[in-house]
Amino acid sequence: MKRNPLTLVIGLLLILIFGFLLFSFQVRTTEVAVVTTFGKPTRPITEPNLYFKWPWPIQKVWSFDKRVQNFEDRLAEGLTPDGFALLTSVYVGWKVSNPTNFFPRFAGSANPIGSAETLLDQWLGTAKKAVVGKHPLSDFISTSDNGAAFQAIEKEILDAIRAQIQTNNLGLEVKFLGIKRLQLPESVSQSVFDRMTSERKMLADRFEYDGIAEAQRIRSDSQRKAAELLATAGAQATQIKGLGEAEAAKSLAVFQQQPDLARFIFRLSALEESLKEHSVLIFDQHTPPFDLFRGVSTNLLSK
Amino acid sequence: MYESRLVGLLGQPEGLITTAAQALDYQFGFKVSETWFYRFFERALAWLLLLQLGTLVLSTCVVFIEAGEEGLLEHFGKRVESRSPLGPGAHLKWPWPIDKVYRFRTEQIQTFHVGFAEEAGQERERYVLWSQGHHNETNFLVANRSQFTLEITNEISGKRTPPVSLLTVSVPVQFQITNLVEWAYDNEDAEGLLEDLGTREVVRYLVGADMGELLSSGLQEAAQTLRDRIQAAASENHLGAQIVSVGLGDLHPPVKVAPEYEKVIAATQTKQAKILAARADAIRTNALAGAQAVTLTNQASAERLAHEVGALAQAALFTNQIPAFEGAPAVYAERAYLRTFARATANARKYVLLTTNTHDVLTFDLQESVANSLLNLKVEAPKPK
Repeated sequence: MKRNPLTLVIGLLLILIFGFLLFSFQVRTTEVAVVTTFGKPTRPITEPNLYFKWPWPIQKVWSFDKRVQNFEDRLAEGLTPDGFALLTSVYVGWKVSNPTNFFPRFAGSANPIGSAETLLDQWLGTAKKAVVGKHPLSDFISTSDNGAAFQAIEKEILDAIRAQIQTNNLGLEVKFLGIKRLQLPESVSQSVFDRMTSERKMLADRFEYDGIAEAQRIRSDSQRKAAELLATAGAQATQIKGLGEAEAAKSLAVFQQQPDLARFIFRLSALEESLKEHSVLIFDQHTPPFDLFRGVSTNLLSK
Repeated sequence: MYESRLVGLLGQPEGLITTAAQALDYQFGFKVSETWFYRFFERALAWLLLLQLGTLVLSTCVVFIEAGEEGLLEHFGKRVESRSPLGPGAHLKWPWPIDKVYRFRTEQIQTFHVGFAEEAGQERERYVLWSQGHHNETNFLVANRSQFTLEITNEISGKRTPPVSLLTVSVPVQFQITNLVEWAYDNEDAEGLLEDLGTREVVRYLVGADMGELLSSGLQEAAQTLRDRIQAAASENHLGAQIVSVGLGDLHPPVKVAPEYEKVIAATQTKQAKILAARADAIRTNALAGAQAVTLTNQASAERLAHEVGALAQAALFTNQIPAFEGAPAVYAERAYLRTFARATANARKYVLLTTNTHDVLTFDLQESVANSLLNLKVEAPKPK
């Protein structure tokens, strides 16, 4: 049978590519890998490059992301020594530090990273509860220490989890830990809302009555100032009148030249002044000028 | 001899074409396999396949990085330090899978949110009100510096409440990737970690901050402090990101207590209104008092002048009256008396009793008479409905 040489070349090329893929593998910068020979870990690889291996099922490659993994644990309730229930969740940064140790503990799972995080989550639950139980609420929430106690609590949880990992030699390293959520249970939140409402009502009343008091003080001050001003002006007016009186008194010497006439004129003036408003006068016929009537009065004439 | 389909395909690839030709002949009803095009295709198929494969491989030798993007080049999985990151433009590389390029949008300002989860496709709200819930908000614990207030309120309510308040926080954090190598290679989920760090810094800041200050004068400072802290945390964890801004515009008391907070604000305004009204009254009172004081002194001055001038005038008149009196004392006195009497009693009501020889009892009604103008008042008749 006549064969097309080009077809053979293509077939050969495909076989070469397929064979190359079977006998080689790449490890990325972001990965570490473990090569197992008949299931036994024989070669850990931590540097990125192209590597060769025997084809499956003789050798198999297990790759893990060696970058820092970040996960958040479950929001869990703990009790502080002063009796407050507190919900906390933390985020944890961890990475595979030793693939040879990490592989046998988690490779059986379809998702080794997820399995490691599940284990960490369980340990974190215990560590958090223990640490929360040692610190009063004021260590978590305080305006006085600039967050020092808060950071110390995070460090305590971190130390506890690191110690547990070291004891069990998991081949992973926790790089950092931080409190991500800090909450109160719903029932406690409701009482906080009640307190906040009372506090606001008190503040509103205080502002309102402060305003009333301040307004009253301002009005009272202004009335006092007005009274002072009027009293001063009254005194000044009296003083001015007194000066006028003194000046007028200088003219009294003139009246001394004819005292009888002066007295008569003063009496006339007084009489005139006193009769200015709504006077009712009852006269008889002896009062001048009504004595003129005596001449025409019938009963007088009959006397 | 056992022949699988795969071996058959590899050994006699033209068999597949023959089968296809037979199918085409049957479908079209004439010999498609005998046309010149089919014969050409049959002869050149291998070359065409090789050309296609070659084009495919060659196409992976060029990569185009878009504006605003950067790429990381890896050779057999190892980062090519001399050529990364790749900037916008065309770049040559070894074909896949020898070289691979990973693209990232580095110049774009990206955003994550602390305290609320924005739902995809949700429209931006036009109003942001304290008393109206928005997004999926979370309440954060915040310190309360006013211990006195707490003690009083706890005592009154009889409940044991923690010395904290709750604050609804929606903080958008904008960032930009500045070091792509750190961003891509140090953390598996750099954006998730940045969000965690941001949330942690917000939580840490709030538990040490006073709520009253946060809601008023401390807002700007808080935003700056949070930006600095998140930036420090990002740098410490080699995220290769720059925090552009931290927005605290949507920071408010929880919806349940927001109306009470607004009442306090209203009360401060009421207080100001009362004080201003009192100040206005004070200004009026003092101004009127000042004017009255001036009036009093002016009146006194006028009276003084009138008194002085009157006294002088009276003295001058008296000086002229003396010769007249000395000339005819009785007549002058009588005349003066009668003139004064007439003038003084002109408007007075007078009763002159001329009858003296009777024993009548006279009764006078000295009540003020009603003014005529009052008696003549006209009252309009009610209009019919």
